[in-house]
Amino acid sequence: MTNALSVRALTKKFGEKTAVDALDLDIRAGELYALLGPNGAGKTTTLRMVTGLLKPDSGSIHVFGADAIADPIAAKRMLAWLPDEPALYDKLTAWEYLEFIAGLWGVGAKEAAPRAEELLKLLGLWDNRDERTEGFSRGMKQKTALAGALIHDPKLLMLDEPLTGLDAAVARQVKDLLTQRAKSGGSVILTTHILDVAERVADRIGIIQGGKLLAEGTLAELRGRAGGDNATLEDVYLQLVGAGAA
Amino acid sequence: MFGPGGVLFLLSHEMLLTWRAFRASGKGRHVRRIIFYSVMTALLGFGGYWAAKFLSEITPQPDVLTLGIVGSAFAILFSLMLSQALMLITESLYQRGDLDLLLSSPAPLWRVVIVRMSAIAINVALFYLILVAAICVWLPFFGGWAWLSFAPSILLLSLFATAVALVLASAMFALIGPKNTRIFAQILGSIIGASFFIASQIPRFTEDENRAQAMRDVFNALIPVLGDAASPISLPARAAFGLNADLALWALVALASFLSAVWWYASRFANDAAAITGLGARKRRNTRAARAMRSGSAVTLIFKEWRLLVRDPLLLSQILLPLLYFAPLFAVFGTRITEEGLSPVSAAGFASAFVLLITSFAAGLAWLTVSAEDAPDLIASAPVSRDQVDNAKAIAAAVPSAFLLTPPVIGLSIIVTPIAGFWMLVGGAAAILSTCLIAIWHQTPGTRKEFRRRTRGSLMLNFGRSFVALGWVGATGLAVSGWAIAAIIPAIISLGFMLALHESRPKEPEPA
Repeated sequence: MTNALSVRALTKKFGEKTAVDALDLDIRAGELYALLGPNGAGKTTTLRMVTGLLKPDSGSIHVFGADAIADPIAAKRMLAWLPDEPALYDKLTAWEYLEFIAGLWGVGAKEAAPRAEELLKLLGLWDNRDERTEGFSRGMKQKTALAGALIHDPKLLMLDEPLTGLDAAVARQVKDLLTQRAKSGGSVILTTHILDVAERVADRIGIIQGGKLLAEGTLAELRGRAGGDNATLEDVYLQLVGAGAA
Repeated sequence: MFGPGGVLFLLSHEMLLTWRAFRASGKGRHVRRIIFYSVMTALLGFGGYWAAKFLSEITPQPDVLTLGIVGSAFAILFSLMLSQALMLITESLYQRGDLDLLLSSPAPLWRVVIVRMSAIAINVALFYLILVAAICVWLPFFGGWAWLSFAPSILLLSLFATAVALVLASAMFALIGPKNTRIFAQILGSIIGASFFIASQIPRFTEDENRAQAMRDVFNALIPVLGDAASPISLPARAAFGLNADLALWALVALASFLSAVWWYASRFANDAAAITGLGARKRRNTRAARAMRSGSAVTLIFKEWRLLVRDPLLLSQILLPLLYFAPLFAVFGTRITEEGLSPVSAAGFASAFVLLITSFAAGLAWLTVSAEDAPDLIASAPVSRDQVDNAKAIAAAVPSAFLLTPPVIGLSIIVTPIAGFWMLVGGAAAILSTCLIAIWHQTPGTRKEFRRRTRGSLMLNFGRSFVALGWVGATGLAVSGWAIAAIIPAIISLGFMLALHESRPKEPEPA
């Protein structure tokens, strides 16, 4: 079975600093993968290279078999990217924003309208659909951006710190939606600082530091590495990246 | 006053931020900047030397005529300073920056306000002070001591203008609310700024026999008022002549006005700032009868740009206000056409002026649609090529510009000849196309809020842009006046500069 994402020897340097160092990473189709790591570990840089927002210095990226470097458009068609700061246009309404994203991803109007309605209802934004996003709270903006990421039904959804700044209720809604998406066959990769989130929702977890993947596996596999079934993800994480990075 | 949290502490922080913002606004390398500022200093020093030499030979006599002329210059300066201060004061409230941090600190409110307003006054006076300083440094060498008081008088004038702007801004806040104040302040500021240019063109609208009389009437009416040594209106002019008592009195008036305005404004500042914070949270609903959607990347990109433009009155006013400066130009041609009939020269002048106008309009729009993108990552992560995005965005700028061009083209075709209208259409279309292409080749990425910084870029780029525009203006003028063959020369110049700008475009930038 083709991997949702396959990264080989991916390297990116900013001046003298190596942000991503010959990284190998495989995300299977239909799994929810959490990428953990301290600040500056290379999580966001990796995802930005996959999305085509940054050019890698070397290495390869394949999204469902499509070469994301040689044919970025083909890869982008299957991808959705949700940055930690939602990228919205404050003078557009939630509905218009979804219309715009659907248009960019080439989704036909007949297909996009019911999908937008479904997503807005699911995320509790239906009553706010004709309001400009400039008046939205942080949670509403994040949910609008998430609806935008899902409007074209991406095969691989990539989220950078999707729960940052969200209240408990909205965070729960987002977590449920991501789990549901993975269960229905969609692939999801997310970066997070909140270990509890990774522990609860991820099928597999990768821990990255200094641009290198230190360890990856299911929670049970990682616990095994830390030396006991009682070890929490926090124990594993701290053992791998060092207490100073916590 | 000097310790942490004191007036000077806060003022030095404010000036540091201004300096950093100024440095960040330039794109050139350090060495290039040093060369640029050295050349500017040398030019100013050279001009200042000859001005100081000339002035030193004149003993200032505060008679009615001299006071009246200096008073008129001060009135013009005052209006320019007032418009600038008004815009800076409203911006200081809307572009919050560190305002929330300062307001939440234990520093007294009056201190925060006095520092912010002093920084604005210094900012407003700076340009004029640099010009005056270039002369003042030479004055002692030629014995022109009597002229040295101009510098403090101008600084005091900026304090007075800031005080008036504070009162005006507060009044607007109370009368029309925070939402409209920013737009109104911008329009008012631009009208004040443009009014002297427009006023200077008024004699050109009047008939010859009335023109001289009108000027005499204005002169005779203004000079006795502005030059009356006993009138408070002439106080700044008298102070500028180094009359000690007048200078002291002018300092007292300006400082007292400034401090009173700041004290009055401080009491309202927190409320006004809070009212603006509330604006962001206001819900704005757009009614939609149907839930239909558009499809296609180009169409959605174009409609997105148009929606964002139409829904931002502040940006719209910023794009449309420069057109105000063209009003006198059209009035001149209108008068000529009325006086001389439809001569080819009048028609050519009109067509050229309109092509210049359309270029300015298209350049503003093209920057907004092509370079200013509030969600660049979103666009870059979409499965659309950069060329498709750029082309759609350029079309979003070109179509409104073409709409603006159409009525005068039709008018010229009917009133003059269809050929004249055709050449105006060709010239205008070429200017719009060139402007959009340059906007694509030399993008200056930013957010829509940075509209005023759109012209940042290398000197050569701005030089090239200007020559392309002037080439099309010239070609249109010549073609409309019947010299279609001669129009090839400026058209070739434009195309040559276009080629140079195309070749000098930056390499494909790394996304985001």
